[in-house]
Amino acid sequence: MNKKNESLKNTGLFLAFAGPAVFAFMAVVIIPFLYGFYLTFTSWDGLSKSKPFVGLANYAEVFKDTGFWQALGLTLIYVVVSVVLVNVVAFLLALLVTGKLRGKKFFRAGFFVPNLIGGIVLGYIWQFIFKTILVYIGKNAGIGFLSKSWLSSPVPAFIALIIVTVWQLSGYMMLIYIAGLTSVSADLREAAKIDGCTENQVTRNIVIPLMRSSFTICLFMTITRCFMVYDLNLALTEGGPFGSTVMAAMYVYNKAFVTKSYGPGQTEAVILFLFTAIIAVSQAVINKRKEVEA
Amino acid sequence: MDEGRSVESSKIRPIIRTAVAVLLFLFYMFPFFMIVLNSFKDKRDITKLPLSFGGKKGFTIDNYLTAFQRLDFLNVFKNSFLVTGISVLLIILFSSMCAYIFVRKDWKINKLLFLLMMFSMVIPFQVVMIPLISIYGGMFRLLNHRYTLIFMHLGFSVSMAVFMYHGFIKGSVPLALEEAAHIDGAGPFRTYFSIVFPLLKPTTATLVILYALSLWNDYLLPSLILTDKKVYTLPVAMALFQGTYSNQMDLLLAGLVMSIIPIIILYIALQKYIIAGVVAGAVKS
Amino acid sequence: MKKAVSTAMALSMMVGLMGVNASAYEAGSYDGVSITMLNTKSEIQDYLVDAAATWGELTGASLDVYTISDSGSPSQEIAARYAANNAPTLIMGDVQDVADICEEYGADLSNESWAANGGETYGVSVDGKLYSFPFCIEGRGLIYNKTAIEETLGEEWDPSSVTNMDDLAALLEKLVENGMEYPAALNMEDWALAGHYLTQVYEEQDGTMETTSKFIDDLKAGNVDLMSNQRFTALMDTFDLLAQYNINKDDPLAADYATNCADLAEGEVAIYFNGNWAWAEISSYIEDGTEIGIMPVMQNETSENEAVNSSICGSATKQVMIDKECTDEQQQAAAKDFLNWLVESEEGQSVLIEQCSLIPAFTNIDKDVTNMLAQSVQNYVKEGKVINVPYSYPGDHWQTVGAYMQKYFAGETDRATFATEIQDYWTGLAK
Repeated sequence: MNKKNESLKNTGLFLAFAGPAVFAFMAVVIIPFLYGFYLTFTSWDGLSKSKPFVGLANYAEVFKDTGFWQALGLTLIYVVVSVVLVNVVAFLLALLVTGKLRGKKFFRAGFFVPNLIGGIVLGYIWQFIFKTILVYIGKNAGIGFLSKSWLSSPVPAFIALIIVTVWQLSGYMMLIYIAGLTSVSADLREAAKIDGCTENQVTRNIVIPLMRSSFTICLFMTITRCFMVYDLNLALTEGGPFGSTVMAAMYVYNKAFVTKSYGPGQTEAVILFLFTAIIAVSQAVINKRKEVEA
Repeated sequence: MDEGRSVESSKIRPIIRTAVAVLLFLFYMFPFFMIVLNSFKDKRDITKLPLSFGGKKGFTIDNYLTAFQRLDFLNVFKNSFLVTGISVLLIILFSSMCAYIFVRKDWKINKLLFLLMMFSMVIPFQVVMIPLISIYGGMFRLLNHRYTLIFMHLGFSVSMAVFMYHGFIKGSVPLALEEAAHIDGAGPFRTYFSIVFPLLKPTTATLVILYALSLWNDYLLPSLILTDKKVYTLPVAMALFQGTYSNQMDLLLAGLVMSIIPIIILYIALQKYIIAGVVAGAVKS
Repeated sequence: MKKAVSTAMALSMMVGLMGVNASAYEAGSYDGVSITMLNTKSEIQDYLVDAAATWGELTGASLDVYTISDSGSPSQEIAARYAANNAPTLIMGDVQDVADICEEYGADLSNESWAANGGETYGVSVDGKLYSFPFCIEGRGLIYNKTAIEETLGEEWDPSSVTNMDDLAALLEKLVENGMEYPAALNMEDWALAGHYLTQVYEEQDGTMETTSKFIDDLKAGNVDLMSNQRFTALMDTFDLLAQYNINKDDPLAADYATNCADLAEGEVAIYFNGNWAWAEISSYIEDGTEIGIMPVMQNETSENEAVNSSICGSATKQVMIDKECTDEQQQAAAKDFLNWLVESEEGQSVLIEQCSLIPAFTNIDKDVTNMLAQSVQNYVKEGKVINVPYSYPGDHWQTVGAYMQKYFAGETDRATFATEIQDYWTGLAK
């Protein structure tokens, strides 16, 4: 009787606290995802009423699609470089604006500004900067590497993508690092300083280990965001020059809506998902485990 | 010798720090300057003289007037405000409650759902896009309602928000306070709202800003759900300034500046909460 | 004298009567019917919204016209709307957008009054059924700035003096000698390169749909050697010539669409490959008194198709289909009525031609377009000098082949490699 009461109470507690969030999550994310997963076994073109079941044919086709694997490879390089740079820059920014500095709030707001503008528009603005303004400056000031547009050759275009990514994401991650830095109690730092630690030693030996959960969150967020980069890719380089900067999400999108092979496109999106999930989640799990140990 | 160097470095370091901060600040603000600068120019001057102030045709606020009218700004602003405001409110409320129960109760279903949410954060939107509108449009006919969009924003946002609250509650909310409340006879709801939730302020403030921003600027989802002009949000209305064969860059920039202002105000208003070490204080007292 | 006046009056009355007769439109009554239209020509959005309101007052119906941004493709928009079971009543799309779905979702428009007046010539038909309303004709070729050429050369210049690529080369050279450093402009966008320039190779084989279809089938079967094809060779020679005088020559892929349009309008360059839609952008830079026009992409070696130096490539680029899946009979009828109103009524025609500056595909409309560039194209239409091949290319042609052409344009590959890449693209599709 008591036990039954207990479980009834628990169910009530669960529904009251987690119910709304879980319901919305299931209805909006999980159910459409399962339906989308089902569509990978069909040869639907995205438009027609008929959705013929084809089993694993799409998966077989995707394995032969070299364009997709190239795009995924490029995405992988992009993710590694961006994730490292974004987090290093964001962490340094957070240190900078939590340390001794006049006008901290002002700077903080400034570094956060990139987040005020949505992805697509932001890409157009940067395209304008790379194509028009930098070239204008480069030509007038005689700076060789600026006088030719970065967006018209593959490697500089790729670097441009990374620069804008760092610019865009680092302010966001900085916020999370600031929250982490300030949650390390001031008492603890003072105590360490009294014990004779320099500021650098405090940062390295006390603050960073205690901020592990901030690192986990930031890494997780940057990894997933970079893997799925689409808006910026579309608006800044449009995949060019000559298709050299087409990344996985863009490739998938084009496959589904430009080539109109919805089935294979959806299949590739699912593979991209699996790839991202494995990397991002294993990162988080490993770090979480370390958090517990620490 | 040693002492001299440290005195010297302690004088120089703040200067270097400030110099670095100023340089970075300029780099981060540069595109923003360009937007504001060019929003006061004639279209011709934007492409031809991007760096100059005013340009050939001079300084003008026409872009703002035209954009204001063409966007149906007040109505669109109201839509954006409602959608963003209500969504953020619901996300904060339901996610923090959900995270709290996930942390405090060691139930299997909690662990399972938490894991599912973590995985779901990696789902590319394209995978669920068509299925989502097939279900809500094709089956339930729920398009063109703000509440549908709000519900979807909630669904897409909870996993990340739960994740962030989860980490914070686990690491920084002491169980001792809750136990004390429990002994005083407070039920789970009162304990949560009067003790736990206030402690979550830094995370709440951070999430309010992050979600307010991303929902305010979100384009793809609203453009799929809201196909009736009466319920358009700002980014959906503004996207129409970009056509394939003619970009209305002048109007776009002006519209952009107008749509950023409320977000800046929100950011300034909330900035101090993010920084305050509320938890540290609570534990101490 | 009096007689003369009365004759004139009678004449004008007759004209007036004829005008009424020509306007065969009679407003139907569609009280309370509400329909929507997807407009993918965003530059005319404002005019269409006004037109919808005017038509709505006549018929009691309400038409909501909406457009999409550059970042979303028409095909994604259409797919999303059908997935949501919320398709617009009137769907404007590119030829392939309509061709892909018309059999399944499109209403049969074969019996509309405008079908015989040009609808069948320019619209999309499948198995003898007409599924779309050709919204406008657009032509592409070399846009010239006559005023700038004359000012630079210091003499009268007649566009008809250019009859082949050699003439064009001579003109460009002369312009350089007279101080216009880079007299030509080329766009770098993949859709401009592969979608607008290269497609001329397929369409100008002999200028008919049958030959183009066969040519592409041959490409798919691997039976075409582009390097020995006269049109490919000639068009690429002209392309190289333009690239040589290109204002963005240092960095061709850094070209900016708006800047190119501004450069042509302001006379920085004299020759620019584009289509009459560029007016939307050019018009915001052009000054009064500047005269511009369009001419064919001039080629040498025309023995296999003599028409290429006198005709421009043009077709109905935007097609309007009526959905029959998500809309009821009454809505379809109202949608048909709106299309009729556009073609048959005085007001509708004036929206299409005078406000939107579109070149009509319909023979019953004798209004002249208002902007210079469209007028220039319209003259070719009137003289029957238009190569109209509305072939429905695969959706990814402009993107994939466009990337190859960008590589060629940037000097990363030579012409033989480029030709092989195009051939491989087509043979790859056949698999």
